[in-house]
Amino acid sequence: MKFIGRAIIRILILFVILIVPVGFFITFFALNQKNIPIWNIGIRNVLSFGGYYKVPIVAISYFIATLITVSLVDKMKIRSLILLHIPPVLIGAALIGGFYLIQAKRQPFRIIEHRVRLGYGSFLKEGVFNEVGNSAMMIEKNEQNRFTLYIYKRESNDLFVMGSMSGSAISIDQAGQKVSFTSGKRKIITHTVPFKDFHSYEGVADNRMFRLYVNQLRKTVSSFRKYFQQAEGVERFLFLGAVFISVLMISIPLTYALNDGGWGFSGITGAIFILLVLPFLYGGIFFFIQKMRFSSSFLGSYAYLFPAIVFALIGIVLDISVKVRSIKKGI
Amino acid sequence: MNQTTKNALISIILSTLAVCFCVFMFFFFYHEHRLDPQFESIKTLKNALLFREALLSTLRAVPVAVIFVNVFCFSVLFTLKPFQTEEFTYNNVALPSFIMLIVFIMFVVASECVIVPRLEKQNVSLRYRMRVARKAESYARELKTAQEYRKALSVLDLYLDIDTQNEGVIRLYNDIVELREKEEESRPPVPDETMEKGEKTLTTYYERGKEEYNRGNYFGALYYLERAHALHEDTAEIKELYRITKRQTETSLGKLTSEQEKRKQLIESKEKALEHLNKKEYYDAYEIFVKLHNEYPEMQDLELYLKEVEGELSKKDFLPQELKEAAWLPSMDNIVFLDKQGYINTVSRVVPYYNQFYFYDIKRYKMMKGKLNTVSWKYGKWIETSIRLKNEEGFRKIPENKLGTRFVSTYTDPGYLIYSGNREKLLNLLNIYERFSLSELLRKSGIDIDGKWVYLSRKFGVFFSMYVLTLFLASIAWAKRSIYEFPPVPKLLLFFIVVPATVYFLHLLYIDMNNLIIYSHRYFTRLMFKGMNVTVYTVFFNIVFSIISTLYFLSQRSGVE
Repeated sequence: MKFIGRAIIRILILFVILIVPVGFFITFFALNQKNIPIWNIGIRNVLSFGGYYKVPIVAISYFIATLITVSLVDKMKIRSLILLHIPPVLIGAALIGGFYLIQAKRQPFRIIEHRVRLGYGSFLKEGVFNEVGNSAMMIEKNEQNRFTLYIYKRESNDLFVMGSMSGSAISIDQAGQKVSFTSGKRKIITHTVPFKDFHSYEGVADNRMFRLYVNQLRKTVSSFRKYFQQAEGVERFLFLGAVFISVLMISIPLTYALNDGGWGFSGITGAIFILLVLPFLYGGIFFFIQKMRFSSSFLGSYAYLFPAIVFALIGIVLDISVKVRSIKKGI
Repeated sequence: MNQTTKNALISIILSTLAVCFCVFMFFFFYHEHRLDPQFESIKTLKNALLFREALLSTLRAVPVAVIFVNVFCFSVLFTLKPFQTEEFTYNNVALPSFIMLIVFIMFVVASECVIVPRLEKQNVSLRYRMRVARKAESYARELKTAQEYRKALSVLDLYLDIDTQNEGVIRLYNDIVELREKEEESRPPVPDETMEKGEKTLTTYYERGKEEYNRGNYFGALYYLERAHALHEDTAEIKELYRITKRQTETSLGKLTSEQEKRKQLIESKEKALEHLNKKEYYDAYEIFVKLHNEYPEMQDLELYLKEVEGELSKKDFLPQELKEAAWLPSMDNIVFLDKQGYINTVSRVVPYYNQFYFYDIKRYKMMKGKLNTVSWKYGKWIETSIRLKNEEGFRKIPENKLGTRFVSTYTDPGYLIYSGNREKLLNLLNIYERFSLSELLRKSGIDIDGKWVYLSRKFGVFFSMYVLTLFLASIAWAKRSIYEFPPVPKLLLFFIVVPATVYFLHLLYIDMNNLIIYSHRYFTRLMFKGMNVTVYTVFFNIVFSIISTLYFLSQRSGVE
């Protein structure tokens, strides 16, 4: 009990420490994926946008906290591998339960359109030529609060001007990810620019290696989502619970196996390694399931649980093999 | 300094050098693989470019390398046999590591602020020279086909200035030389008026005038003797030769112009032109000399005067012919910038060559009373502090009231403006001094660039990232260090795969966090400390993190928990 209590406290402390950087990180990444420039949209927008991602933020923070705790646990003090699963399961169950009670009845994991309050200033800096695709755009504001937009087309070496626009002449379509500028009274001219043409964020979320990792993560999540969408109401929680258990069943024994009492840092290295490998592992198993066309008809109306059960079974096998190896080594 | 401290110091230095060398080699082969195949043939510059590219990438990776080396040392290296003595204390390794960290940070400061921009500039120059060489080769082949051998050779001379080892180009050069010789053999011989080889170099106007006179080239002699006479009016020898030469030219002039009136007009015009020349009214002199030279092309003195005036005018003006001859050179295309006169300028092509900047197809835009006024110019050249514009051939005096429209007064040197379409490249080229002195001017030119204090804050992010992450991760590594005689090989391999990547991402995350701090400055100053400098604000937070990590580093102990 003492061990479970300590492990829970450690996971919770790490979870609280990690939630802020993970939150910012996921928010930045999501904004970057939507081609919304991060540094020009205002902190309130960033925070409210991050709110939409509370589920992945909480899940990832919890998962990293669990892995680090398991990777640094003293193997000499904890002899039961099964016992090691209990603290993460308890916290995870509390998180899912809490989430269900607070929000699920209103918005059961709805995939909603995330909106951010955007203006021309989110995309264009005033008084300088902003690189926009193969052109450069400069916006100037005059004393009457009207705008003049200069568009330099590099292909033709020509400059176009859209003069005396009011604020309403600039419309931002977030769903279509484009900005339109309209001017003229008799002859109306519209210039539309997709979000992706604006200079966007460059940072860790824009890193090539990181994008490769997240794309794999996204593929795995969307594979799960297919099964998730087959379920309805409480079934979704059943599915989520099975997935959650399967992730723990796979990652905890792996992390525990890499945990080394003689070299604690290798445990951290192992936890990071598992974090990196897991999406690819899951992706590979999904690919294998789809290629081999396993029949899940024997599960009847619970067919959506099939992949989660497969992962949980793999986890159980891993658990047993780690335990057997430990017994052989005399730990 | 005891033996353990010495060992620690050597371990850190050697490990850092080894890691940097590996990184350098990796980037050398990486850049070699990515190098544009068209540059492969220019071997002289290729290796220089690859070396610099790899060096640049390595310098940028130094912060990550230093953090990684420290993690490795505290996790593995300092636990190995040479350190496992009875006298060993944590201080023996902590102190040299800390000192070396400070040294490395100082190196990174120099690298980020001075060395990297300098190398970037050298790289840009090398790449441009390679482009020139490539273009020169293909252009020379075109000229060879068009049988313009003399021009082809001058273009190839340019190539050989850059690369002397390309056998294909040397062969091409020799072929063209042969073709030119054949062509010249088939032509009737032209008397060479220039001095023969080995002849004594004539340095004074008088000597050259005398030489021309002896050759019977009286108009040529007149030019030199007029200059000599103007300088030494009292010298009898010069005076006499000048008088004789003048008489001879007047006789020759009689052959050229039968009508007395026309002859008089020519003499008067020339005297007027010379008067303008002496008064340094070069445009007026040029106008007369061009007219006279077109009328009397046989008079060599007019040609020489014309050349002299052109030479003087070239200091503040240019001939479009100069731009036409340079048009084949590689260019920076489609740039846009604002100038001091309030115009938006667009330029189709800019050729930077030997500190000259040639501009082609310039358009100037200005909003006047709600309408956009446009003026187009065919040519432009950077002269002293502005871009001289022109459409016409030859030199023409600009009326005082139109002087402002024929020059573009830029905020900065065109060497910076040519990167207006490539902001990232420009930012990499600027060293700390340029960032401080030019940020505002570049912004006024319409280039999207951070202010100097924001730039400094971002740089501090890199240095503090190095400091904080090194101390923090080294402390964790020490707290969870290996107690094996030698760590398990599979786990060591995993360490070498995972830790560099993790350190790299943590470094990027720290820089992102620093950017977030810079971003929050605008909100903070709205609430309190209005007008607080962004660098002071950023440094404050970074110092807090540094203190925490230093305390954590210092709190480590020698014993195993």
